[in-house]
Amino acid sequence: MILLEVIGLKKYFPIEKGIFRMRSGFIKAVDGVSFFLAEGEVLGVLGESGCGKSTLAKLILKLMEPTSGKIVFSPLLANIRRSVGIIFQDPFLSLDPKMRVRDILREPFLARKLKVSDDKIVELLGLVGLGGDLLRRFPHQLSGGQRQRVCIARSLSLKPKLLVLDEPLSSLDLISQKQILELLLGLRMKFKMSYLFISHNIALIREISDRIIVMSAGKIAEEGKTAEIFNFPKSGYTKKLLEAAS
Amino acid sequence: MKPKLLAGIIIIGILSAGAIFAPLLAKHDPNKIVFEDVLTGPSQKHILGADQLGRDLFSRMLFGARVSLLVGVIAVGIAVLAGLVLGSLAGFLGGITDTLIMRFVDIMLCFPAFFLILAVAAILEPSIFNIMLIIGLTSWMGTARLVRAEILSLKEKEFILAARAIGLSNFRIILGHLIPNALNPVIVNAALGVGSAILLESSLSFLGLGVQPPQASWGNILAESKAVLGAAWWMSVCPGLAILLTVLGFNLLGEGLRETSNQ
Repeated sequence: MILLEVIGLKKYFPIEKGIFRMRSGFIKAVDGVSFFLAEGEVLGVLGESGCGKSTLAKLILKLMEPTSGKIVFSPLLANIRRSVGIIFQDPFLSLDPKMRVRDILREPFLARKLKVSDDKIVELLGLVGLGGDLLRRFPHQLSGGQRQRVCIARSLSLKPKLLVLDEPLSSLDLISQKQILELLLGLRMKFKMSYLFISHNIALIREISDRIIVMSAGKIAEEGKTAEIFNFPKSGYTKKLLEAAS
Repeated sequence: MKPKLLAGIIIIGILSAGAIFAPLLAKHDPNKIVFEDVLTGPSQKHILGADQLGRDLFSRMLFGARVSLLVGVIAVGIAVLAGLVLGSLAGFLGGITDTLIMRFVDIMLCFPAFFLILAVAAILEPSIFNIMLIIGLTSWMGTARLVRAEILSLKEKEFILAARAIGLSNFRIILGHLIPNALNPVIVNAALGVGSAILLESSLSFLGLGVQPPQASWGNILAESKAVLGAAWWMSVCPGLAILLTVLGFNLLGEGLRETSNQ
């Protein structure tokens, strides 16, 4: 079953110049992208910095209005604030510096006017391999890996069907990267989630994705099964990318 | 702790203690007229001398401190509240709301503030409450601009996006995330604002549009001292010094807080 389908999605940012704010052009962050994501799969989005990957993630989460095109959600994702979670690249920036872990993890419940006990929050922390002793800590009192785990716990609290992961490992050290990756893979099995995994790390994408989209300058350069793309790259851009990595 | 912050806290602490414990510290009734003491200089009986009605200046200064500090703090409280609400709405909602609020700020800033306050104070009945309100409602614009700028930069941060992604309402995002993170510069600004609010109150009282005699305020003690400037120096020096010290104290506190929050 198809979870979501993206059709001709575009996001242009106007470039305004001078005192009169004349539009001198557009930055085409996402420029006519179409793809689909099936239930239970890991779709990798591969591309270099600035190719529009993060904008794509924000568009899917409806954190931004697209310039044109649309995203069709399956009935399984009817309430996207509940059924689609997002993990950002830098966990330090995605946690409110003035809030304790306990309050950060209470928020998804408060947003739905649900009562939440400390036990429930400790249980959430347990899911991502953290102990209840962190409840009263502030984000700056946690390590990078711990912070990313808290972000994951926050997304999990709503039991999402789809998790959009925007470079979730890039700001972590190598050991944390490996641990968080294992955690993410384990959680996917446990909660039967689909992942849209955005990264510039070719080896990582290859390891975890069922299918891959290669993005370049806001457009899709190539799309296909992981094995196909790595063994028989068709587009020139993909070949260049693979060459650079080997 | 920063020396400026410490100095500010000490000065304000002493002044507030004087204001709070005024009834205990004052040996005389601040409004009691004693003919034989008229314009006597500082002595054992009157530490800071007496005014032209023979009232004890030290007692009047203590009760005057209550007025000045209360007006300063509450006026700034009103200004901060108005600035926070309007600034965060402008910054968060953007678009037409932002334009309307910020043009209103520009209009308010175009008025020569002191003459606006004078005009309003002349129309309304002079009372401490009205003075707080007038000063507060004419000095919120700086805070509004500050809050708007902070919120504009905060709302693009990832933790705000994350809050939106989990379905938090705008109201909760503003109150729970944006305002707590925008508060540091606002607090610094408020501390500096208390100093200017106290100056404004003194100026209004000096001109007779503020706190009305016989209730003592530093401004109206100064006004009364005008007539006896040559004969009774203590009448002008004491309230003058007190105003100077208070404003200095709040400015030091503000500067100290700024230095601390920039670390």
